[in-house]
Amino acid sequence: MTHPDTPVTEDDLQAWVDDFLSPERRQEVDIWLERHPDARQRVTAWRQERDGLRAALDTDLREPIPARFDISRLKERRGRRFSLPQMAASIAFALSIGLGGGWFLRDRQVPVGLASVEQEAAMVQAASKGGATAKGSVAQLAAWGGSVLGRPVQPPDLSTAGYQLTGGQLVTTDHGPACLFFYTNDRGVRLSLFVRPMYRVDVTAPMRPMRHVPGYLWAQDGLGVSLVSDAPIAGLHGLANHARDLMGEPS
Amino acid sequence: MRGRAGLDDDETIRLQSVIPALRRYARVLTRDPHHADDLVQDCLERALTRMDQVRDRSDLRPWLFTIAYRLNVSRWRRIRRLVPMAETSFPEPLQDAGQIPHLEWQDMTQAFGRLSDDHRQVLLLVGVEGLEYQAVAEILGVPVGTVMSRLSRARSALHDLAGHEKRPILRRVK
Repeated sequence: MTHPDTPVTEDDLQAWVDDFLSPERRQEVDIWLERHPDARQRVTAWRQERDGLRAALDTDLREPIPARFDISRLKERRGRRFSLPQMAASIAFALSIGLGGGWFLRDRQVPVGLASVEQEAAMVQAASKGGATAKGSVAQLAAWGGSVLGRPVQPPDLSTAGYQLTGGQLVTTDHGPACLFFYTNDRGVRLSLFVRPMYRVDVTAPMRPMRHVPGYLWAQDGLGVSLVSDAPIAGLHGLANHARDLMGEPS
Repeated sequence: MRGRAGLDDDETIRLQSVIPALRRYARVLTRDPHHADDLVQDCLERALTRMDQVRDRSDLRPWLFTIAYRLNVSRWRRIRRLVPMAETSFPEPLQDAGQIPHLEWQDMTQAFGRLSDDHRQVLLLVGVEGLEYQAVAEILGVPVGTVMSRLSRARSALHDLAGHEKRPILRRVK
């Protein structure tokens, strides 16, 4: 771009220091500097100072990197950034606006298989606790769930154990829609039954107790299910077995 | 498998390898090693949400430095809003001279610490990091001409402060 008789500018001198001149321009500037010893002294000093500063500040680069900047750990932290109350609040919001509310938990790092069912069920249960239960038509919910989950979902009838189906809700999770059914007995104990399809992992899994809430979870015929009680109660394991047996019966 | 579940190992390694340079830039931005590391952490967390922007970049520094620069600007705005200007005390120059082994480097970092923020930034980004003028202009959000004039003045100022004559600093600073 430059012409041999293009005057040498201040920008050329900076670029000379930084080695950003094209070879041709570099040659022209060198010739010009031969005839301008003051400028030559100046750029030479600048370059020495640049090198000195570089050497001085390069000591920073040799410091060990603190563990807090470990990218793998930061990614994990990012995954866990949402606390349980926050997640519960977003689920409560999801519950309050129902289907089509978006995937509120989408940006979390999530466990897979039954572990994710456990996490989702615990959050949903915490979020819905104490809130008004939507008394939507259960038949409608089951039909809805059936179409959204891609398979029929029938809440088990737990009335022989003293629990009446009082409502339900469709909720969003990381793994797509899930159905939540609420049961209450005559002493006001509330159970929630969480159901969603399993994808590839843990399509069937034996029943196990949940870690952070009173409840049990399992997977049967491609559905992940959890039964959670709002308060610790005796006989919950038996109830869960009962629910599993009922859900396994051909309807 | 969920693609979102993690970054490619390659991207993790690339990001990890830029951290020393990012810390150094953050120290120049904040003049305080502790604030700098907080800024680095914010910056990395922000970067992790935008890893889709990484793939076509051969050098991650300009991208990360831009994030750091903007985060630092908004951080100062926030602090200045909360704390009346008179009470805002600027941290001491970043380097503890005793930690720098070489005497010449010690002079150099002391001189560097006395420069204005604008001058320290261009000297670091251009002179030390070796970034192109255009890339530096984009990081700082200024025209390339501004980078050039700042660079020229910064080099003159550093030369005066770190000059090879005896005690020029004493004569210069009243």
